[in-house]
Amino acid sequence: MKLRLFFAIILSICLSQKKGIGQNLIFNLSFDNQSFRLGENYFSKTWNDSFSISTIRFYISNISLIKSNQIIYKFPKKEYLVDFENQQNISIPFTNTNSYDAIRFSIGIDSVTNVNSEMSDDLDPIYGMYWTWQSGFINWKIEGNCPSISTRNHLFQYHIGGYQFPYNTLQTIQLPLTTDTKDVNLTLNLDQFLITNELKNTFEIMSPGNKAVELSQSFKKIFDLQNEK
Amino acid sequence: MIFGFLILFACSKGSYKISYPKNYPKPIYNFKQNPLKKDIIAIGKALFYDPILSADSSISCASCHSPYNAFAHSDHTLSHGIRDQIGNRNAPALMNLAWQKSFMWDGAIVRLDAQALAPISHPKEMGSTIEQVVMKLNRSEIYRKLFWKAFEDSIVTSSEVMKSLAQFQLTFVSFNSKYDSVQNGLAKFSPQEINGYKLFLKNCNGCHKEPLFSTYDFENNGLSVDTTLNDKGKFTISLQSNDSLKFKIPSLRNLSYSFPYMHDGRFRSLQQVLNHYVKGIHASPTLSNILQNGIALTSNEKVDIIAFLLTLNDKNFIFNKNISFPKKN
Repeated sequence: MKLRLFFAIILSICLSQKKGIGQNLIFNLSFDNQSFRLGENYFSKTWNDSFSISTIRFYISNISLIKSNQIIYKFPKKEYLVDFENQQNISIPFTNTNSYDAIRFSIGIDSVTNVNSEMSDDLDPIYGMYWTWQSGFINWKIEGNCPSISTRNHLFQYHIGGYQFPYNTLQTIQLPLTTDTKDVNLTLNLDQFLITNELKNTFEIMSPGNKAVELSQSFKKIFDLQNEK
Repeated sequence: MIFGFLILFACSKGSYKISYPKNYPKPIYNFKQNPLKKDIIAIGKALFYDPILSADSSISCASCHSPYNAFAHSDHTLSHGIRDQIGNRNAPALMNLAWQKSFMWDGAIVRLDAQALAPISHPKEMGSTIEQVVMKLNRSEIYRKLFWKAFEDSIVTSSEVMKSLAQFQLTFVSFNSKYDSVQNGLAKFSPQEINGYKLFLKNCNGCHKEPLFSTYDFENNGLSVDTTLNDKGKFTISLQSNDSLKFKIPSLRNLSYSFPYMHDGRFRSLQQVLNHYVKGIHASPTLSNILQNGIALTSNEKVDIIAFLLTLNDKNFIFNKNISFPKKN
């Protein structure tokens, strides 16, 4: 598992070196202090059961680098789809020459984009991140399996979105960077996700509403910054 | 076409502009984001009438939105889709879409460019997915040629499919009814129609505002809840209690073609509809302010209002070849 992560980093370094001063925002999954892979079984003490996750897909938007609370660099695209089923999507290249002390980003799609965007590129509804029965993007999706839950095929499915008041699920996160590093490594700590209170009795959320808002607030806590050593 | 100045005119480079009478407000659709083009409208038309959009290639948009019914579902209370499954609502008539800020009876869709995703993927409507549709279209030589011509893109994309469907539907502009002729000084109402018009302005125009004959807002018009459906309308989407039982106000244009009426098609005739407003209003917390005491109309007044409503029928729209079933080659 560590080997895979190692290769991912090596690959991204190689790719970035090819472009000269290019850097990468790299996403990793972690659980129980180890890297986590989709489709494999893990044991959760919180759930007291084994579980696996088949899908982790989310939109990250308005990514910017911050220096003394001022935006000094904005990522080239407004929105990126991060999909752990597709390895290519775990690294976002950027080119910045100034020093920075924090990264700021939103998880999800803002209301302007929800209503007005060109629905192509990462926003193509083909990725299953747009609700069809009502207007709006799904900000993030986590799907998996846990034998002790009583849903059909023991599936849990969280499709979190909603941009209209009072059910706006867009969450903005700012994380401090202690050292000025080349790549920025963002880790999704799934331990944090599994201890989320809202998950205790609810295994299916697939529309905007209170539960989606609560879960979106918990979800932002799973992002952790690992500065490259 | 009746009025010379209303004729759709083509601009340079195959671009297109919808026209409408002077008394219509400005459309609210953002044409800059999806500029109308003849070739794109042509794709939209082909797609609209093609069952290729459904999972088993059995249902097209026109199955529930027939041009001869002002793009509503002929004589069905609730519309049915793939494998004869019956849905929860009456397919609404499609016209003057460029003036509407949201779509579906509950306003679930706020942009026309994304609307087609709903019927394509609804299990009881077309039961497909946009991925499947794009895959099928990419396999079709005919469609690939059409998309190449319109978008200069050798691969059909979902965004192009959605834009094409929106463009074609934006050309569904109805403005050639007798009412419109009267407004433009080209015809006269009968005395009965005049009286009906006056009664309409006094009693109905608050929600069914002329000249589009709807504000396109949402109201609870006092229908009792059909317990077999328990449809709460806009509440289903907004989850706000003050939206409970509110549905999108439909336009009254082309009523003779688009029966039955209401979100669940419960009324078959205009007489039944007026009887509802006169003596059938069901009180509930979200009932429209205008309808708190119902509408007082005598039998003769009801007849006169109906005479006026019939002047909103637009035969030119219903039988407009440009938007009707494509000719078989």
